[in-house]
Amino acid sequence: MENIPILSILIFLPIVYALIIPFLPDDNKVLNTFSTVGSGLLFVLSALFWWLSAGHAPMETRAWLPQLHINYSVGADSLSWLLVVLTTFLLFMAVIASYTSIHKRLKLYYSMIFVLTTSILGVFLARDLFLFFLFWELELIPMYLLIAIWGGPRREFAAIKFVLYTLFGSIFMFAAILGAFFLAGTFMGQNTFAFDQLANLSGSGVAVTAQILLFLGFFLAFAIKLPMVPFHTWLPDAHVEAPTPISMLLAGILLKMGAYGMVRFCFGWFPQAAEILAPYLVLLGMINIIYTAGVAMVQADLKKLIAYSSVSHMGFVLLGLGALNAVGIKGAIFQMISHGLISAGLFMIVGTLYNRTHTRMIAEMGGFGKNLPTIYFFALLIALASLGLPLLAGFPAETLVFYGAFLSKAFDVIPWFGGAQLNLSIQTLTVISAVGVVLGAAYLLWMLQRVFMGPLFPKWGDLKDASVSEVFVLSGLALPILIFGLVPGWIADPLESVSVDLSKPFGVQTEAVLPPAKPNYVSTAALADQREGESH
Amino acid sequence: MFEVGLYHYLGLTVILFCIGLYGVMSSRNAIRLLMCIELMLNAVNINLVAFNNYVNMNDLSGQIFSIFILTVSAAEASVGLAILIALYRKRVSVDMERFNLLKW
Amino acid sequence: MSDLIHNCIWLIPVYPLIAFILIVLGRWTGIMPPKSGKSLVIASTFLGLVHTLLFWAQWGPGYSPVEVNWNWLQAGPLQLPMGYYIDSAGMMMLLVVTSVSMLIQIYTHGYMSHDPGYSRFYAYLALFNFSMLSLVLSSNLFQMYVFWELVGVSSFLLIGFWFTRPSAAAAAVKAFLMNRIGDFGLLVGILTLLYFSWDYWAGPVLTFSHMGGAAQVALAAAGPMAFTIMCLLVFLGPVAKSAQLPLHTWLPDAMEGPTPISALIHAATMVAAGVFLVARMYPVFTLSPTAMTVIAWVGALTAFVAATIALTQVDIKKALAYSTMSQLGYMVMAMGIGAFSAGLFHLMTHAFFKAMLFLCSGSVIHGCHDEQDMRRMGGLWKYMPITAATYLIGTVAITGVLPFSGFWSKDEIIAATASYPLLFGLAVATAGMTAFYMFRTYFMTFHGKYRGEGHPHESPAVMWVPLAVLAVPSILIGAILSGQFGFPGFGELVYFGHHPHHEELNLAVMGLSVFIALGGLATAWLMYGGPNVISPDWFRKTFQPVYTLLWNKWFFDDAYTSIATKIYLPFAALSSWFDRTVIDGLVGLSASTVNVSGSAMRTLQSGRVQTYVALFVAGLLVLALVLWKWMV
Repeated sequence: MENIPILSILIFLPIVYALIIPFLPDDNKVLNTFSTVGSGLLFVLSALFWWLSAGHAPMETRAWLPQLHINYSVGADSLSWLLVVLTTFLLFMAVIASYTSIHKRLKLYYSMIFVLTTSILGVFLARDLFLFFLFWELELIPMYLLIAIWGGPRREFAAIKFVLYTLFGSIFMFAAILGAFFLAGTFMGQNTFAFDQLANLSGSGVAVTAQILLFLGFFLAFAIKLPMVPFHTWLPDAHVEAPTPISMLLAGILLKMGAYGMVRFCFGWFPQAAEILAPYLVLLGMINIIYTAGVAMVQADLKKLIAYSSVSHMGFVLLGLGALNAVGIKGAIFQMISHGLISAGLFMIVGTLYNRTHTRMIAEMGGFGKNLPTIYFFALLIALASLGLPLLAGFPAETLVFYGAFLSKAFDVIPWFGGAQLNLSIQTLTVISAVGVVLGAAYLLWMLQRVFMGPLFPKWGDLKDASVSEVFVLSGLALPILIFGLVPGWIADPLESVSVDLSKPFGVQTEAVLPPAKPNYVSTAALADQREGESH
Repeated sequence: MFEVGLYHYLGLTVILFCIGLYGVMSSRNAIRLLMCIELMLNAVNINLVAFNNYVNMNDLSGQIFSIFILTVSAAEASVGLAILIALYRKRVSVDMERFNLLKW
Repeated sequence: MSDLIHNCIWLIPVYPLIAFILIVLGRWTGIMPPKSGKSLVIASTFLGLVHTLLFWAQWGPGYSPVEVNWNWLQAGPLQLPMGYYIDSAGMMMLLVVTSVSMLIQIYTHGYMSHDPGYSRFYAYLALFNFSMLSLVLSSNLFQMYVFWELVGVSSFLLIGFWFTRPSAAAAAVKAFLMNRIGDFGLLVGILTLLYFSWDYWAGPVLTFSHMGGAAQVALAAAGPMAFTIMCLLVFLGPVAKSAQLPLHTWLPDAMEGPTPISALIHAATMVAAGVFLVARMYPVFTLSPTAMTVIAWVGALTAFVAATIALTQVDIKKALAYSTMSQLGYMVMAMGIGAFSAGLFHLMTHAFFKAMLFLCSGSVIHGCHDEQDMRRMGGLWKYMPITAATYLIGTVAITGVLPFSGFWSKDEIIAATASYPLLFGLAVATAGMTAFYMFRTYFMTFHGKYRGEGHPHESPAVMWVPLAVLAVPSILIGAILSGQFGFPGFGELVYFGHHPHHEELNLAVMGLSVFIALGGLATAWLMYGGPNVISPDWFRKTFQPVYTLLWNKWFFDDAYTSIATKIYLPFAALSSWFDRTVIDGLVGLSASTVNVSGSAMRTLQSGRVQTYVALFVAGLLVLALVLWKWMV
């Protein structure tokens, strides 16, 4: 087991698929089947590998360009594994969702999807900063083509906007990468791109100002990807134009690349900078949640509404990270997973409706609950999960974020320009963000009311309910939403060490951000003893 | 007695080069333009030979270079003239002002 | 066996959950026929009832609370538990919920027999039962919040059961949103409580069994001001859930749901959850006198306002809805003045008689072919005697006439307010109005001549048997638990603090409330009963402004509609405009800047080689100059 390069297999298997696809017969059925089996295999493999490698973090390192200190180095901890399995799972779902929504140039389409997968898996698994950047940029090419070829009427505009926006952030990230590379040489005696060495950079005597600059360089790229207000406007355009499976991947995984980078680099490597900048992050997170919820409320286009709701929910990631404690960070990571499932589900719902009606305007819809009961069922379930209903996956994430942020001692005031202060503690900002829970319920339920409830429009009288493949995708997404809502420990427990490690550096200068846990008293036992005593 | 030194050669080549450059920039006739290029190349040749003569006498690299340049300039002149003939066939003119196809 | 009963209390809510899952899967895969699920759901509730009773039977003499906590979600030092906690109050709620819901589930079979969504309805009922029972069993505030939201969503699903009706859809969304506002307060309140009492907790947090100590710590840490705000935030949850002012407007609209739902969720169980939460949190609330005063006043005003609105209602279900609101106001007021036992006692009796009243109204609606307007009823006594009799019993019970159940519980509350003159006045006035409007509905529906069309008929046995069964506790349960007839009083079984207490009869208050009730009855009889001595129209004309106010429900709905459509939606539209125009505009601006400067620059590319050479030489000269000037 130790000798098998499992991570490289995972990363490059999709590329192998992409290379095989051109030699297959040009028949949609064959291509669909091949891609389904391939992506299913990839999902099974990723889950299996995680399971097999439990207990140790697999790591593969080969010298690549030693003159430039660049290595091919991949590795996985539980954070990476979770995102990898989420990626392969959503890929599987997206491939099946393609049956009903993609009909032209399937060879190129599936090849691009698999290239995209390789680049995303590479981003999550890379343990060398240069390799990370390579995969990060590689993702743009297939994504550009996927939107620009199979998208809606304004697809080229949206694709270009997406690519340029991301590239704009990448410039700053590349500067930060080089900065880290050379600072490592200055302060640790060795120019390096290796994650495990760069993780010690902040403790090596690098000035805090430099750390803040590096933090911001990384942060800008990730904030655009996340997306964070005010860098979010590429997302509604990209979503509206992208075909359904691509929207699912875009919302489900691509946004997580930004969140992942924030957790891994910004917070993992530059904790001092993070501590200084946390107030602004929380403030921006709050704006993300509240402001985009307002924007979502009045959208006439269903897909845009979902896109904005997706942005709104990513604000919780910022809020949780800004809490600087294990609870909040775990909540942020949990939110990444549950948002991946939920937003993919919501886009799938939009896609099923669009395939039937060929419109996305809410005003033209109504009463679909009557003749599309299966879709209504899933729409209800996933929308409720999205608005944070307990026992569905959105709730544990939001709970951890809120509890973490509210219990946090991260900051009491926000330093502002010219020595002034904004009198907003993290508690206040958390409370304002919690209003987002009400607003989220408002726009999602109003959407459900307008789309699925009320009388059915006569022109939609003969719509057919979900097909087998659609039911498969929807239930495939709904099932983990339910399971992780009922048993959040299955996600939360593997993340314990990651989130505790991430939160450890915080609160060095100030008080501990959360006091340590005290020994667990067992109230049950005491009561049981009491009961025993009485029954005798 | 007046002795001819490196700087005199350099002065000559600068003058020659500038005349050639002026001709390249200002002449409207393409033939003249080609000739001016030759002038500039020759200025460079004189320069190379002069440097070789005054600075490094151990080998003949400057002279060899200048012969290379002569060869290349001959080739260049022939290609240039060929282009000019092709252009003339298209435009019935060798006026540089009219050769502005290479733009947006 | 006894261990099994004891250790598997968590099964009580799981039975209906299993029923729910089975129905969903069964209907989805098509294994179950279209109209099925009834037996599964009823059996699951019955199992829960039996389990509760068995547990009660072997609970032991002291009724010491049973608590178990499991770790549900952990992060760093924070442990959010799930578990169960049963004390006498919880046991009382368990009994009420299981028994009332079982009867209502039986009734539903008759009421919904012609509805195409029969199985779906039963599935939702099972889902609700699961959530409600879990809420009752919650061992801690966090878990209660979890199921608090779940009962909310069950209520949403059931109100919007006939979702093709726009009004039902709107009512469902409204109920959910109103409750979300309450949940927001509850969430922030919980967070604040945890924040201030963090040092106290070890292991699972927010458990009810340790709430007293936590409250002390929190009060010391927060100071009275912040502590009071925290209490009020927590109380915002019950305000929404129990339809107290000002978050009450969803409850009357919730009557869009099928009537069994109105009986089960919006009268007997879910709306009482707010009262139950306040009772569970009593160690916290009692530490803040200000918060207690606010609670008492919110309850009293709700009771009063709801009663006034009920005076003018013509829809039988809406009248009952406002009456529910009013009675919930009583309970909340009891909580606010510290009479927790009395409040829960009223919760219990109210659950029985109000469920029965709603089921009666359902029977009437069913018998009159889906007519809900009392102006088109009347004289139904002849056609549906059993329904009329049970409705009368319920009316008498809610009015508080000796010796029916409502009398005992309401009397305890009114007696407890005796030391607060203003609250006492409001409570008594409300009691009088209650008697009036309840008998008004009774007379309008069952007496006089039939004013509708078609032929009303008595409901089938499957519907009237539950009515008859519910009539028994509606008559007797108050007297039995009053502590006057040899049985232990309610206050001796369910008590808060350390001492069970025995209710002393307050004869003056008893006399007053009976007198008031009879007064209300008499007025109603004079106006709507046989003789029609006083004309309702005369009243309407004489008190026109008051009538307008009441008819428009004190304009709460209009205010909220204005806030939503005139303030929030424009704000949302503005942010959308801002997003498109300003933020995306800036993005577009940066793109067009590049574009424009590109167009400007390309004029430099003339296509003339000589221009390029000239520029090249100029650049070279500049470079040479720079190098010469600054570098050498």
